[in-house]
Amino acid sequence: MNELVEAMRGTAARLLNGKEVALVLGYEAGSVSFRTAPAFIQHAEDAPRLVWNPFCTNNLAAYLPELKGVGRIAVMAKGCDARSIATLIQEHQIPREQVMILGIPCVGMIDVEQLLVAGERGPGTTVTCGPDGMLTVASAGGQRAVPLSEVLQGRCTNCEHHVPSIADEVLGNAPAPIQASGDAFGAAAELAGRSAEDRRAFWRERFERCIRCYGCREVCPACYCRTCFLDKPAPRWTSKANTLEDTWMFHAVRAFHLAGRCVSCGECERVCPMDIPLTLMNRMLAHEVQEKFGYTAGLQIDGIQPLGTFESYDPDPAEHA
Amino acid sequence: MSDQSSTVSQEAPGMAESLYTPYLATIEQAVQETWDTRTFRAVFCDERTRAEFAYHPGQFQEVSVFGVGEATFCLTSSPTQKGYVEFSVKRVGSVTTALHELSEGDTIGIRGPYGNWFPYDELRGKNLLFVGGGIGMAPLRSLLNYCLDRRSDYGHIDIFYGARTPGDLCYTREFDSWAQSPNTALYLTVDKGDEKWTGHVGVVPAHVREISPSLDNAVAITCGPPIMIKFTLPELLKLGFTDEQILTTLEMRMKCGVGKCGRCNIGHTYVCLDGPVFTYAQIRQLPPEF
Amino acid sequence: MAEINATMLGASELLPWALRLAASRRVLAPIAGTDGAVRYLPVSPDATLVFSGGRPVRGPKEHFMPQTDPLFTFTGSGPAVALQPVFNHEPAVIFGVRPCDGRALRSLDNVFLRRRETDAHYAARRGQTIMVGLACAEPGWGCFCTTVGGSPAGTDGLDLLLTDLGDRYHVRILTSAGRELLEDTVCSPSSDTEERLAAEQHARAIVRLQLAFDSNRIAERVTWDSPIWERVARRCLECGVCNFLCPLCHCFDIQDETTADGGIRFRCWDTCQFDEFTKMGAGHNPRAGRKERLRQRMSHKFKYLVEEFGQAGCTGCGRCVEMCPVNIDIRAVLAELGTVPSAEHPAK
Repeated sequence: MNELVEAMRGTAARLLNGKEVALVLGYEAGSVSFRTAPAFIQHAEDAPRLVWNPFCTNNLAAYLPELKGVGRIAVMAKGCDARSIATLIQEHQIPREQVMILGIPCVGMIDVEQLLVAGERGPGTTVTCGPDGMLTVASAGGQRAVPLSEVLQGRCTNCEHHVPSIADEVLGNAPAPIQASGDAFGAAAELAGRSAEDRRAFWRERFERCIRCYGCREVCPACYCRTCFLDKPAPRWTSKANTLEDTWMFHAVRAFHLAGRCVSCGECERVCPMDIPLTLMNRMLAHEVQEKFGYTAGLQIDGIQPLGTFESYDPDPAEHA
Repeated sequence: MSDQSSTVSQEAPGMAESLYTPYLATIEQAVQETWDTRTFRAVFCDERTRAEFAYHPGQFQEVSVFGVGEATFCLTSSPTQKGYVEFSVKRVGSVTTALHELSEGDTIGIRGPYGNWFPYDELRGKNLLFVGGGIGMAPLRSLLNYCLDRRSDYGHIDIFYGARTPGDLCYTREFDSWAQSPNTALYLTVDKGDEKWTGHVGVVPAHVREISPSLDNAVAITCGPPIMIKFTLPELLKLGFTDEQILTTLEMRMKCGVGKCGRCNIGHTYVCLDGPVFTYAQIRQLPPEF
Repeated sequence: MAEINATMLGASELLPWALRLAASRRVLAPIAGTDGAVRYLPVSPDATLVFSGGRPVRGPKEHFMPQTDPLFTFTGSGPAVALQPVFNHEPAVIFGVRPCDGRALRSLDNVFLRRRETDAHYAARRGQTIMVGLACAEPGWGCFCTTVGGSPAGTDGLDLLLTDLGDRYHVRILTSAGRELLEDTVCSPSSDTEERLAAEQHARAIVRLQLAFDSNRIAERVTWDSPIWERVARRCLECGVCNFLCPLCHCFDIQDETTADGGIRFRCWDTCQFDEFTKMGAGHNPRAGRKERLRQRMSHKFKYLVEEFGQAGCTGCGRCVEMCPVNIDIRAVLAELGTVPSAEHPAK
């Protein structure tokens, strides 16, 4: 991991010194040891701020559409992030030549909620990552060793693209692949198998909690519409009122807008303060798109997405019930 | 141990106590000022409200189109005009468009009056210089017509009013009565004339500079688009007006109008409570965020 | 006879007491859903009350200021349109209120009750709600109540303060309303030992909370031109997580919704971090960038409210710290403004 950090810092400094890029997007230390923050590096002497660890969870592609006029940008990209960037390029939100994708082979990101058990969530807790994939959690109650593999985010345990498929440079050596513990559709499949009544009760309990903070929307790289359907006053598609119907409508429509575009980076679910398992919807729709159109988001930078166009030979849902 | 003070009574509040419930009013008249601006004259439905609704020039109100929403408009009529209120609406969004689609006889809601007002009492005996641009003339008109209705209370009045084109001038039907009022001068201008326009062509600040109105015992009151204000203020200062002698009225996005929703602040000042009327001296104390 | 100010309540008495009270009023407590997520919900016999751990992510603010709060309904049309104000209020008790959330009510009171006109919708709820507090034994990693004049055992805004001693609660009686509430349950006098246990628990929690920044004269240090705004705000995603979870952020939007025979005007939570918050109809936006919006948030909380009411708009609950998707840590920002390095993060 240290070698990877050195490669990051060195590459960033080199690109900035050589004026090959105007900005490097990466990660820097957060205000506690188990968080990082997105970093905007514009000067080579700031390159040492860059870090790499299993808390580098943010999908930096989210910043790209608004940075279009800034000049060439180098972005540190995990596999999922690179797929988001590819989708943005495919959708003409940023020209290919303006982004320099610095691919990072990733062994997974930590689910901090899962990692810190009772007694460890207080002030003063620190988490350090050993080179062997062992974490050390030090808190008021003592020290605890935890294998990284036990506390990975759900999207990482299912990851099939942990080495970025599209990259200008890949930093460091590709590590041993994560043993994916379930297929990508796993948890969503379980839910899909339940009765409609069960599923309605499941989502009702969760959507009732939604506070309409739009953290899910703002963190998502694929949600870049200047005026979201939600904010259009005429026609008023969905109300800002936090009724169950309007909240459900917001999430359902947003999920459909992401069908064939979402790369399951899981950030929406991570940032949701109300623990709503948003990725279940996205996985479901990604699965449908894969089954019906043989298409997976973010693996190409050209072509047209299946839901971005209509062909006369598109499968008819009625015939494929 | 002292009992921590409790807050309010246990009684159920009545309709009059909600800050957010408007009075009902009927549109009595709608005048098309320009291609995108209409002036509405509204009469309160309730007799008591009609009699008791009292406001000062410079105040604003929240106008509702039920089902669409509410928006902020300054009162453009003068309180000397009894029995109705007027406000001018520039069509820019959903509520203003909905208002434009209303006709005489339609019902709207009005909450207000809110905000502070032009210090018309302190202005008595003074010479007044009005400098308005575009729809910025709307709040100025309230004070102007008030002063013209109390003509002998005020000294010489100069009115500078301009818009982008002749078609963008509002209140054209009142220009004659303004110009013909005793001891009053009206200076109109447009940024760009048309084939019928025979008046002055040039931006308002330049017109002010050309005419160079007297500073003697005068107060300037100005309102217009930000770009106009930006260039008018230096002209007024060059003429010799002090910061205290320049009044303006600010526009901000507002919702509640009563200092609760938190959005109209400039620094620690809420425009709906401590404004919208400010002296330039007060504005210089505010952070440059408006 | 001297009035007693503390008493003891058996732990097993709490839920029955709450249920008895629920017969005549709305009784809320932190309750876990089927997936463990905690919200302040009406108590029921099978409810799982969650009193352990740090303060819940979702606080009782929404009882006083609901996310969506109907203001009035309108029915009919034309001059016959009828407006009916909506005042959703009833006598209520909220259990398990953390001191930071209790103290936050003071800030909401400043805006809705003290600043000019009284907001009757808020006042109606406030005047009829009794707050049963719970001292925090385990502050969260983002907590900093002591830095801003609060305490994990603070009593501001509360009617009773419970301290969990395992099989029983130490109960500190703070107001006559709280004292009256206890008449519906069985208490016993507190012993010196129990007083000491409660005090020790409070002290332990306080010690765990390091001072995150120097709050002395903080208003002076929140400067307009600090380079920190641009640098930190760059990563802000402009979501509503910080302000919506904040126990005293109060900014709201007003919108209309139509129904079959009329409609509702409601207010809903809004945040100065949204781009449209100050955007005017014709497009001009005084706070058009993230830097301006972050500065507004910090200035409002630590400067403008201090200047107006003498009280910062922050009780150090730490929710924004823990939940911000991009780790904008208000403590680090304030520490840097004060040019004092924060406890955990070196000054950049």
